[in-house]
Amino acid sequence: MNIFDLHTVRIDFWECLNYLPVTIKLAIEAELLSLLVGLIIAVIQMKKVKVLNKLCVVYNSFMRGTPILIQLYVTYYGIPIALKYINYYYGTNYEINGIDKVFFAILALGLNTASFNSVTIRASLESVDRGQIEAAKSVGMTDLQALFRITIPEALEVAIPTLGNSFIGLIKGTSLAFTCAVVEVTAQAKIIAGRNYRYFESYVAISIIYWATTLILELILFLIKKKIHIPDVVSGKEKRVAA
Amino acid sequence: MIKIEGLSKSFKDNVVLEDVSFEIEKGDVVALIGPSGTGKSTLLRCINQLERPEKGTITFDDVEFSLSSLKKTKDRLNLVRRTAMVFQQFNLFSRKTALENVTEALIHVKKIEKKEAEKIAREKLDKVGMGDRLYHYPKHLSGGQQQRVAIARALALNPELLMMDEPTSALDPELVYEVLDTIRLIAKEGNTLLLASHEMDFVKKVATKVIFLEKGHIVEMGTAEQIFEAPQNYRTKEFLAKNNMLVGAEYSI
Ligand SMILES: Nc1ncnc2c1ncn2[C@@H]1O[C@H](COP(=O)(O)OP(=O)(O)OP(=O)(O)O)[C@@H](O)[C@H]1O
Ligand SMILES: [Mg+2]
Repeated sequence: MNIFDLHTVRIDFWECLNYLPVTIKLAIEAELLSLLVGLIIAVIQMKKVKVLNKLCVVYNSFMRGTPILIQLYVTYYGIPIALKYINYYYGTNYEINGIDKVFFAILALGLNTASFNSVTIRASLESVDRGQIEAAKSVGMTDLQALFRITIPEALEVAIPTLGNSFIGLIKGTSLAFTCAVVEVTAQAKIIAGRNYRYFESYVAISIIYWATTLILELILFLIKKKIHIPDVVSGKEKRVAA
Repeated sequence: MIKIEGLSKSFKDNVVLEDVSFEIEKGDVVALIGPSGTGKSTLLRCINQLERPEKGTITFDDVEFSLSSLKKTKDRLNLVRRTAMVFQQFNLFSRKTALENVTEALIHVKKIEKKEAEKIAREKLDKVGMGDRLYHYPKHLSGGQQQRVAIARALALNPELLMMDEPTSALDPELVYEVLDTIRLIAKEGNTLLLASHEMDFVKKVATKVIFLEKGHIVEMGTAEQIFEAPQNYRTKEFLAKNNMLVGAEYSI
């Protein structure tokens, strides 16, 4: 028996790679939830909406003050209990088994990331020059047009690097989704290792998967940043026009 | 004719404008002058609905708008879209080129087709002397050039009233003239302008009507000649004297 079996690593790698789409789908769905909730929290805090504003402070403090692993467990065990209570008190008949396990993971990861993203979103919205928003209104745009055509694009340049990093963090965070009985890359590695007792090999295999995924994401992030950055030199078009 | 009537605006208990009324004829160049903090910017911003006054109306020919209670978005947009504004700090859209700054509202507010919008934009940018900077982003332009693009942006909307809030006071001295020349040009072309300015020599030469505003009240208004050559109110005289405009000396710009 080999001490370290490269062959097993290779087999595990390909087998776990099949679950990368699960991981990525989970991360994307959690990210979308976190952006939506993060935006809502950011707006509540910027507009200083009375009671809700306080609630957001407590929410953020809880999300930062507890480990994500525990938040996943709380969601996984808490929601069924909450449902039971609801069924009991309101005479409803919600079926806990009818809920896809992935839903718990998306909820826990999304709500956790939302707390961090809300700070990024708020800071980026607040960084937008008021003058441009006033100019947008003065040329007759509706509030929504001004928001989507001027404010958000402007805020995105500030927010994208941080949001991108938080998404990469989320990809890694999905490795905890096994707590919600979701089979993604890490859970599959555990399953394989449980079969052949080659724990080290399977974890080496998925380390490579996560690392490569992160590298690719970082590249994409770099390209996005480059795309949204206003060029430092004047467009070549100008010279053609002048000529 | 444009009529502004009974405009009053306070910030908390700081009364900034009190019952301000005046008229602007088509093609008029109306200049608002007065000490700092007197409410000139606030007046323009109320007309443009960037501030909400407590009272006041504006009438374009025979269409009257309340400045204080345009509840329906549609009515507010209808008013705002009759006007255009040039800001002290230019306020160009930083993520858009000079050309896009001008076409933005033409395409998305006036719903003009892109080709046609670009044609109009080029024409206006040419007029302000920026025809060779179409693809420059604001960060690649000097302050004076940015302000001229902002003027083109406002002009392209073909507003019934074009407002300018101290369009040259954020500029380095050597860049002031190119912008003043541009304003003079569009004034000559019959645009109706309402302009807050500290550039007294310029006001004297270009304005058809001058309003001296102090502490939220119109102290005196009249033709440029009346105000500069024969001011009636002693406060007007004092202000002009402070600005070296009472000595009757000719200034060239
Ligand atoms: N958003 C605001 N909140 C509270 N007070 C304001 C606000 N905007 C303006 N003011 C006050 O209103 C008064 C008039 O200001 P405004 O900017 O209209 O004066 P101005 O005549 O344009 O002055 P300047 O010549 O310095 O530009 C000032 O006392 C100012 O402090
Ligand atoms: Mg002002």
